[in-house]
Amino acid sequence: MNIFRPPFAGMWAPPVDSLDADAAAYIAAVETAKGSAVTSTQRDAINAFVVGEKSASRWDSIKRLYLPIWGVAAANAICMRSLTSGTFTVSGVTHAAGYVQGNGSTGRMDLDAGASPATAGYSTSDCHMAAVIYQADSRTDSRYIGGQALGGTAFDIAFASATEVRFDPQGSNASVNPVVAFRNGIFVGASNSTSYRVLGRRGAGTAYAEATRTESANVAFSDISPSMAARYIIPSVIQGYSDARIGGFSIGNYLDPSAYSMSLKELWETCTGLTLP
Amino acid sequence: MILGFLTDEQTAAAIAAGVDAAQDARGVARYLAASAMPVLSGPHAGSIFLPFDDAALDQVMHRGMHLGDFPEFAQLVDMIGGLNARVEIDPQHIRLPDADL
Repeated sequence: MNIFRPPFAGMWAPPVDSLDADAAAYIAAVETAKGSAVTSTQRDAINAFVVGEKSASRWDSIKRLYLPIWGVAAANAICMRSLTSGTFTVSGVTHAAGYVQGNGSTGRMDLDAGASPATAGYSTSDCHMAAVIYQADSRTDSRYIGGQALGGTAFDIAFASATEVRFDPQGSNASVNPVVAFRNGIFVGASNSTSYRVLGRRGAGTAYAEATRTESANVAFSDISPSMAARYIIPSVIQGYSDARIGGFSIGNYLDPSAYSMSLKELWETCTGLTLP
Repeated sequence: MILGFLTDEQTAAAIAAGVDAAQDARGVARYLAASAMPVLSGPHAGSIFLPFDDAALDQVMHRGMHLGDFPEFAQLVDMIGGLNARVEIDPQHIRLPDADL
């Protein structure tokens, strides 16, 4: 929203505030879906995030980014980057202030068809998947924060055990994929070659941990779009529904996990008023 | 246990199409979908399960509206017997084993 100060002495004053066009478009879409305005704090945080990501040359690496904090399904489904919409299951998802939470059995969001690897333009050797996990899954068996799999290939971030999260950017050989010993926080998994995979985890304050794997791994993704809060295989056959509280989710090309997770942290904490655990 | 409707593939497809049509008619993106899940084991094996718990009725879907505020909702629920026709099933009967992890 531009606010112009009145002209004086023959001069037009510049607008006292203005938004990046992409930030403005996302905010407008969310406000339409919510039926109410975002706060000025949220508006400024979203603008700062978009401007910052463009300045850091990461914006184009983000192919899909969801900030499901609005308490409204239609708003939560909007992608900040593309303005496309994901699709939530009618039942099984709680749309809370600050996050969405699946019921761990039937609730998830499917990304749109354009989020598939070939269409969106990411691959095993050039990808990222990120998630804001405000609260980990309540179970200790394998559950998916998000992803897809078919025919022995996989692209996902998973609660791998009672103590760990793992990033899987290739086939089902889990032993070559990075693991961190945390289950909440902001996870950013990324790969920039067939011999480098990294998983970063950002927590409260300045806490940050990272794990990498460099074994050769080059199994191409299947060309299907992922889901959030479960791992998508084919229609009606979905794996590992999670009941984690998810405050953000993104996919795309390689980007630096440390820097991107810090940006996501600032965006989510400022918009929600919540604090990462 | 999870609450929902037991039905067949044809009826489930009709419900899914109705949910899509309700969104299309309003010119909005399809942000909701009915999720038809095959029942893989247990006493209802072979049926199609449409999850629908009471919590779904409390969610705000679009511009302050809950599912019950949409005229199509009652029509679709009537197609599958009404809310009282729901049954509870054990989620293990609709869960695919995670062989990869």
